[in-house]
Formats: sequence, C-alpha cells, structure tokens
Amino acid sequence: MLKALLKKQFYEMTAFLFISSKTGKRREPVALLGFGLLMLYAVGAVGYMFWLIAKTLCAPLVTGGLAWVYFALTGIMAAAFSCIGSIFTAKIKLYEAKDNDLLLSLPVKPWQILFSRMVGLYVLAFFFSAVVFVPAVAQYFITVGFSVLPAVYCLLITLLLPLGVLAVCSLLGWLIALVTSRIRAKNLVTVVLLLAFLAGYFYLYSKLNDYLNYVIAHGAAVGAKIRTALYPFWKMGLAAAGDGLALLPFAGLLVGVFAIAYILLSVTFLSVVTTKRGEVRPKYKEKPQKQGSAFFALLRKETGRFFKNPMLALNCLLGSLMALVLPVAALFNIDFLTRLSSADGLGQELAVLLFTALVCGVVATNIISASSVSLEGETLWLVKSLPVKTGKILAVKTAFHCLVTAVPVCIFTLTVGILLRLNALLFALALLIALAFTVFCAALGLVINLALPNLHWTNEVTAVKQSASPMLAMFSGIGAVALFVLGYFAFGKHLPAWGYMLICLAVLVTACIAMAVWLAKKGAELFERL
Amino acid sequence: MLKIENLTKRYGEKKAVDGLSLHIESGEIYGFIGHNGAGKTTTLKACAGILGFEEGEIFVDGVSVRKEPLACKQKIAYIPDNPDLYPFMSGIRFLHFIADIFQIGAKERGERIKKYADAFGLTADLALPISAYSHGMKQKLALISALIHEPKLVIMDEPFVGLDPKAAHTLKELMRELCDKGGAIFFSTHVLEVAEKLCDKVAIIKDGKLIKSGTMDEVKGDDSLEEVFLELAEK
Repeated sequence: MLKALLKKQFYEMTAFLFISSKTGKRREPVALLGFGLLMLYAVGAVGYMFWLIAKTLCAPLVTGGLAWVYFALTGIMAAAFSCIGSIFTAKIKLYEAKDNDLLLSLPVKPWQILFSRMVGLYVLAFFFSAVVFVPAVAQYFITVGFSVLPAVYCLLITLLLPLGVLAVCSLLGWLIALVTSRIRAKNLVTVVLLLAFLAGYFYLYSKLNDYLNYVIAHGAAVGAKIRTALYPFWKMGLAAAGDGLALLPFAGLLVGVFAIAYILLSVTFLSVVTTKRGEVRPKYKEKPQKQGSAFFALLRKETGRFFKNPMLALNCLLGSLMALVLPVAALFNIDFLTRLSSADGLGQELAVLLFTALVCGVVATNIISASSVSLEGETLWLVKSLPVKTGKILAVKTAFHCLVTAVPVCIFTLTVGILLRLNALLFALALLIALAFTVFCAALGLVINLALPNLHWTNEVTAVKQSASPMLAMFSGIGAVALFVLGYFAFGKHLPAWGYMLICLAVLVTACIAMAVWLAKKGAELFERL
Repeated sequence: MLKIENLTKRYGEKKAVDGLSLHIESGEIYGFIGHNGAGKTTTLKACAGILGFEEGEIFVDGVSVRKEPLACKQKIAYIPDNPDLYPFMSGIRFLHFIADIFQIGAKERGERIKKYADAFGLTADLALPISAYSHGMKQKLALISALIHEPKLVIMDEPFVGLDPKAAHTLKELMRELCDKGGAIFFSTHVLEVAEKLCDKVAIIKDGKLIKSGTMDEVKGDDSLEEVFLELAEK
C-alpha cells in the first residue's frame, strides 16, 4: 500500500517532466532534453549565486582556522533557503491536496498518506538545501584540497539536513493549516503571513553584504554565538570540517526532531484535513448590477483568479510586490543611492542604466501571463464556449499582466527617479523601457504558455510551480536583462546613455509588435486547439 | 435550428465521430444516447464550437459553426457533463460575468437571475464561492448561466447528473418551456427513461456512427427505448 502511495507521489512530482500536459503523452526525447537543460540552467543560476557567497566566506574563514564556522553558516543558509522553498508547498501538499478526500476514502491508514507526502517533501527540501550546500562544499575542497573522510561527512550532512528542514516546515505548515482551518478571514491571514515573510526575506537580502563582511571580520565571535545559540549547526560545522564524532549528535538531533514532528502530525493529520470550521456563510442580497463590457468581465475574472488565492498571487506577482517594497527600501537608503549616482560613484548615466536593469529584472519575476493559460485548467471549456474572440481573451490576459505590473513599476521608477533627481531625458527613457519591458514580458509569457500549457493539475499553485512556461518566461526575461547590461558594456558604453537606451527601447517595441502579431494569429489558433 | 452534416472528428488515427448527420428543428427536444466513448460528447462539443472538426458542417439557425463561431455561440448555451466553473467566483459574480459577456441589460439579468435561481432553489447560495458548491449546485448554476441569455439552442451533456429530484423536474419544465417558445434542445443522457418521456426525437450513436434516429415512436416502436438501445448496442 505504502509503495503504491509513494509511486503516486513521485509520479505526481515528476509527471510534468515526462508527460506533456498538452497531449497527455510521454514527451519526445528532444523535448525532454530541452526541458532538462532548462532545469539545469535554473538550478545552475541559483547554485552559482550561492557559490559566489561561499567563495566570499570560504578562504578568510578556513585560513583563519574557522572552517566549522564556514560550514555552519552555509548550513544555516541551506536550511533557510530550503525552508523558504518548502514551507508553503508543505502546507499545500500535506493539508490541501485535492486528492486528500480520495485517499482518505481508500483503505489506507492516514499515517501512510502523511508518510508518502513527507517523502515527497523530503526530496523537495533536499533539492533546495543541496543547491546551497553542495557549491559550498565544492568551494571548501577547492580551497583546502579534497579528502575522502570530510567528503563522506558532507554527503551525510547533505542527506540529513533536509530532515530538519522537513520537520520545521511540516510543523509550521501544520500550524498554518490548523489556524487557517479555524479562522474566518483565511485569505487575509495567509496574505499577511506571506507579506511578513517577504518583508523579512527582503530585509535579510538587503543586509546580506553587511552580514558577509561582518562574518569575515568577526568570524570567531560569530562562531561563539553559533556554538551557544545554534547547537545543531555548531555540530554540523564541526562534522563537515572533519570531526566525525560531531556527526552523531547532529544526526541524532535531526532524526529525533523529525520523529517528534512526524508523530505529532500523524496524530492530528486526519482532524486537520477534515476540519472546515469557522467559515462564514455569506448571505445573498439582491442588488442591481450595471451591464459591463465583455473585456472588463474577462479582466475581472483574471483579477479574481490571481487575487483570491494568496499563494498564486505570491508566486505570480512577486515582481509587483518587490516593486512596491523596493521604493520603501530606497527611501531608507537615499544617501547611498545619491553617492552611487554621483560623479565619484558610478555616475548618473551608468546608475540609470543599472537602475533600469534592476527594474526590468523585477518585472521579469512577474509570471502572470506565463501561467494564465495553464490556470484555465478544467474551466477552459467555459471561455471557449463564450461568444468572445480568442484574440480578445489573449489580449485580456496580456492586459492584466501589464496592469498589475506597470502600476508598481511606475511607483518604483518615479520614487527612485525623484530621489536621485535624475536627468529628465534619462528618467523618461528608463520609465519607457520599464513599461515596454512589462509589455514584452507579458506577451512573451503568453507566447510560451500557449506553446507549453499545463492544463491538468491538482492545485493551482502546481500549475505555476511545476510547469515549464513560468520558469522559462522568467529566465528568458532575466536573460534579456542580462543582454541589456552586457550589451552596454560590450558596445553601448561608446554611445551616450540616452542613445543606448533609445536603441534598446526600439528593439523592445519591435519585439512586442512581433509577438502581438503572432498572438493574434498563431497564438489564437493554438488556444483554440487546446 | 441545428443541422449537422456529415460530421467527422478524428483524434489521431481514430475517428471519434464518423460522418454523422442530424437535423434538429425549432421546438424539438432531441435526445442523444450511446455507450461511453461512443462520440456523444465530441459531437456536442463540436456543435458548441469548442472543438474543431475535420469534415462536415454544422449550422446553428442557418449559421456555420466553422465559419462564424461567434455568431453561433451567441445563439447557443452549452453545459458540459462536468460543470467546472470558476471556483474563485461567487455564484452571483459568475452569473454577472456571463451576463456581461452576452451583454444582458441590468433589468433583464436581474429578472432572469431571480426567476431561474428561485426555480432551482439556489438563490440563498448565490453569495457563496463556487468552490464551496456541491456538484448539484454547480450544475444548477451552470443551467442558470445557460438560460440567462435566452439561447435559441441549448446543448447539454448529461444535464440531470447530480440534480436533486425537484431540480430535475424544474429542468424538464424549463426545457419544454424553451422549446415551446421556439428554441431547441440537444442533450445526451444515459437515463433512458428520461429520454423516452421527455424527448420528441432521439438519436443513437455507436462507435462514432449514427445507427438510428427519428421520432421516439419511429425509434422504439412498441418496445421500450432501453430494449431498443440494448439490442442496437449489442449488434
């Protein structure tokens, strides 16, 4: 029985890799290879970022005799990254999976359902922690040279660390599910929790450089604090640095914490997944409703879809959220920004270019249109049965993406532009590029989603997280931003900044027009064939 | 009202519907029966303009589905076998969404929502999110949304599944009312007793091919529809 559940779990997790959601058939080898390469690129990009952090920390700490502090810190980073990546998935997969009712109706013990889901989550947590910890280990061996025993210890730590992450995520997921199953304003609470989480994340990210410098300068003091406050990471650090005996308390602690978490969850699993108390039954009051246009009806539909589900909003509207948070961060760092854009710093022209790249990078993380076709899912019949031109349906999807992205982006650009007292021409070009890039990302996302739709999912969030199109759209956008920056350093610096920006704007507008033409003809045909 | 001429739809090599022709006149309730996988849903979807087809033609009130799908969709209401509606909308929001798409005026939509929601006993639940609806409630909501724009032709796939007896009775009454006003209904069902009592005409499909069609008396003669169907299906 458990074997069947585990097989189902792994099939659910990996189906998007091997099965085409469009045809329901196994992917062609070439498509599989392309998808694999894309995944590798994504993992490589994140891994490279942590590689650079590890590189900054490794040599100063290891040569200072604080190798264990290095490992403890990278272990903390791996655990934190893995928690971020797994916590909300844990809540959804454990307590909100659409097949909970089906599985509970089968002659399967609840603990077996929980166990199979936790195994799936372990793999996810392992993936996230390994992306951070493996580059750190590699960096260590490059610095000190390879030896077998520490490598074995590091391997064991890589396998053990996700257990602790899983325990924490499951318990926090359980807590969130327990609270939200008993409260009325479920969506509001989830949104507040997510925003608090995001605020903390941005704060830590903005302070990352300061923290790294502090750690390098005060390695021993940081080590002492870890030793007293974070016992498991102290032991983990020692073990990774070659002290095999330290591995025993570390492993014992993680296995123990995981066992406690598992027992607690298995006892309460059934009651949490079947509790639906506290939901208010709204009363219907007849109210006159004005006739609206079909375009706005469709736009309201898209708005409802994305804003009624906080998890969906968080995953798809990350860029908009960042664009709203970053101006606040800019307000607190006016001095730094002014210095940066002064003649002694980067100079206004380069600062504006880099700021434009930053705004565009933020825009690229919005993956609304790249998920919007997939999210039609089983309701696709409805929109196809309506007397509305397919072109209009696609235009609404693009317009919604542009609207929810452009407003925060304008706020962000205007705030920074005013704070830095940017030259009017450069400022106007930065704003125009940001807006054109918003349209570019909206159209590109839709093009990619039409080519790679995922219409069969058990949870809306999986339609975003486990589909190729949102990831491909995001990385394509980031790739375009990288081209913008690299292009400037390669040949754009020989031009005045406004000239280079004008060329980029023209390229963007041309690409947008080309995609709009494609969407109106080929895109509409693809949508009708779904 | 609905003219299907030599309809052929393939999925890869397999012909799901093979040269099917049917004519449905105004005022007729036309039943469509066949075993699972016979091609009923494919035919209904093609008539509703949701699914393309390789050969043949479909006309709704004289308008080609292939050439003018939007004009046809304005005249049609389609209800699938499993009414997956937008779970993030409330019932009333969904009805207003459909009314906006079909450009129904404020007064008319208010009257029709009241009429049909009261008839199906769904008025008190209209403020609930659709995600909280049972299958039967979703089916009722889909039916109300189908009737809200007063379609000339209603295409329904297993419309009685999930409905409580009172709602099923109401639906039968509304079907007759719509046809008496000059509309037409084309629906599939596995409940042969319902088809026998309700339909003016019936068509039996097997492996994508029409094997018998006509008035109820022409198709079943002195036997019951169930006996005729089982005999034909086993041939």
